[in-house]
Amino acid sequence: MGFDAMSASTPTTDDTTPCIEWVVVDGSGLQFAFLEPDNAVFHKATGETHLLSALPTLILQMLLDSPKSTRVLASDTAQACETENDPDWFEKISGVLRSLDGLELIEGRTMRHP
Amino acid sequence: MSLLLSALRDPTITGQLSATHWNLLLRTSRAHGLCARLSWMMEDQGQQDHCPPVAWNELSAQRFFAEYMQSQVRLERRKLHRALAPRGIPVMLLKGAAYAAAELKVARGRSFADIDIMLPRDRLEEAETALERAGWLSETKDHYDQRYYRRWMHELPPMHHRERLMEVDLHHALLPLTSRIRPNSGLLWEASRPLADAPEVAPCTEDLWLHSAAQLFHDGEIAGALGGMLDLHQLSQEFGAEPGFWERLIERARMLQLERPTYYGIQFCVLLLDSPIPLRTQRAATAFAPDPLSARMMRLLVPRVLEPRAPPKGSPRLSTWLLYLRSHWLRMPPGLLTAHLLRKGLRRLPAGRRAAGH
Amino acid sequence: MTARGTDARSGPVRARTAFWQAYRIGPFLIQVGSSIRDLREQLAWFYGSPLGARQAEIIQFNVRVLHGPLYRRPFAPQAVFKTDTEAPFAPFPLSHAFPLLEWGLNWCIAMRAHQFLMLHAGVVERDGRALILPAVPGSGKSTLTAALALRGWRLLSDEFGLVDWQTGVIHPLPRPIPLKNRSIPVIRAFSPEAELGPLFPKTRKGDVAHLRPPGDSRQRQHETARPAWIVFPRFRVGAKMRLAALPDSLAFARLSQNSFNYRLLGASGFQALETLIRGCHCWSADFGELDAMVTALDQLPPPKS
Repeated sequence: MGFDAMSASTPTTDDTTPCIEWVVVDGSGLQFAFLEPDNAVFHKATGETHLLSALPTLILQMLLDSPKSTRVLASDTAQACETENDPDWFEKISGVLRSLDGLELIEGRTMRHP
Repeated sequence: MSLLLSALRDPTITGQLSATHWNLLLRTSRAHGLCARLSWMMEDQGQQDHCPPVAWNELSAQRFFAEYMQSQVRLERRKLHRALAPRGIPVMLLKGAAYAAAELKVARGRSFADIDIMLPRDRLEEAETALERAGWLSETKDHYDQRYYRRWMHELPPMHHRERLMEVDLHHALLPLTSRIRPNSGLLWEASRPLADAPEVAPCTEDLWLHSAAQLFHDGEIAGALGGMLDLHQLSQEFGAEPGFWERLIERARMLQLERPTYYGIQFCVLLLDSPIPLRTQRAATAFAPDPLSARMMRLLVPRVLEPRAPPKGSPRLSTWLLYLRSHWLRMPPGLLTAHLLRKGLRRLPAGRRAAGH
Repeated sequence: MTARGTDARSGPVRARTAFWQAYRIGPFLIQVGSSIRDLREQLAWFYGSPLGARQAEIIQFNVRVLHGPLYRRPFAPQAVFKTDTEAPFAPFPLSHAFPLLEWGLNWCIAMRAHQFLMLHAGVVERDGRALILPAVPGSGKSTLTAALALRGWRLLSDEFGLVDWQTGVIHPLPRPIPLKNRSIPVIRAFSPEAELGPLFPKTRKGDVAHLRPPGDSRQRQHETARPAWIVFPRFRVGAKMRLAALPDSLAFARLSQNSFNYRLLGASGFQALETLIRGCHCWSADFGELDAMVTALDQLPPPKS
């Protein structure tokens, strides 16, 4: 139980802060409704409902499995979506992560073993 | 004795109420804002199935307000942590926020108007600056008010974030600096306990009880209402089960100079709510009694606790009630649709992932 | 109990209640007390005869509509709405006592009936299945609900779509439908059977007259219905009739924004809304002419299940 900067800052990209990984805020309090074309997500931690399109939903579910860095997520999502993991894709994934962070759905943490 | 009080003392009496009695109990529970809490106490005693469904709906429907406010408190706590943790400023949760974070029974159905946190006094200015940079605003801009709070009060003027409604009270002491008793905040920090799954700390159980009593009976007045009495009653029920709790409480009351509120708290809990407080503790607390030990004062004070609190300020008027309902409680969050992102470039969602969320 | 605000005779309003009457309206038992004698006839006309003296029952909403302060009586008499614990609104002119009571009941329901997911919607029923018409400003919801109730659909509710979030069924709440301004002659022309109450001129919503709920809707007010169709209506003068299927996630978003207590219900509201959307055909509908819209709604596809 410390008061260090563990979960404090909002990371930008993994290039400058390689030891940041993303975790779902209160993952057990997430509920999904898979609708068309977007999915609805209820987040108990904030009492908010969000509509997420397929890519942010996929990222959220990958993070529910285990915390991951932006780099790992870019690679995993590129594979799942059968697309090339180029700098554009990395930037796109970073953007989604920033948005999810802004919605309090996920937060950045420093990894224990960088 | 009022029917509400009887039901809070012993929720099993609700199993045999007539419709006329129910109408009275529902009305007084509503007036005191205690519907949701009563419903939880009844459920604990297995009374849910003995309760007429109409009455059960009336009581338990109010739980949603409490649950919603508690979710807003969790959100605010996380935001506060984000703003304060990088500077290494520790946060102690007080009152309702602490009860909820520690998942105490007293938190169930309990509503929140604000969140109370304590900060070390020597970090106060720094914390205030950090919060202002992160978007919190002080509710008073007036220079004189600001000085008054700083000089005389135990808390800063309330703050709230410009995007949210939750009010944040920043305490650095338990009671106003002007009051006759001034518990040492350092002692509170020394005895504080970490919380499971939360970065903040909370006062130890004795201090939680004492703080609740200090608020209710501060300066020999009854400052709170029946809801505050019920806090103390439920804390007594829950903490009383810890071995040695009551002995530590008496000792702690002396240490924090909270003898008088402790005396009132114990007397009133037993008198009004039949709280399970051991006789030897009740006797020990008489050492803290005012002189002369006043049954007369009790007679004067009891009715004040039983008076419902005035309805909250800003009660919606006809011209605004719909707007109020929508915007204050019930409107969809601005977050909706903002994450409507980047569908392009995605071929399909793998089938296995879809099931995972259910 | 000597509590403030819980006694009829405390506070600024000292008027004597001339009558107390109880009505069962859908799932609620409502007791109305009033010092205003005209209100008794209006209540009876709209809601039928009150419940007779009987064994005491648990009352959900115990409300009063009383004369305002004495000093105002000679020149601008007022009516005040009170629940058994508070007086939430500013007074109305005395002649608007009935609309005030209706507003007050809306307020009570919206604040307290959280055993339901409350949609701001008109709801009608046919063959046991409900058609939900969620309201947005200018949607023409009340006019449309009134028209359908006069053309073979059973009126379930005009203001509140009461979805039991535990079972997903809709509970009827047949009450007078307030028609505003131009809707009043439109409904009179639409059906000679329309029974409209007195006109209340210049309320804060303009001129208002209420359609009496058809007898059938009052007699069958305990028959719940399973939702089958959700249609978001939008009235525009001269618009061509157009029904368009609405994607589920869009319907979810719109309906949640349209609910009185979606956000408050948290996970329960979320699950109820998902079940509701999945069980229904969702459409948006533009219309400029009532008859064409009613005809189109008569031809909706059969329920999903």
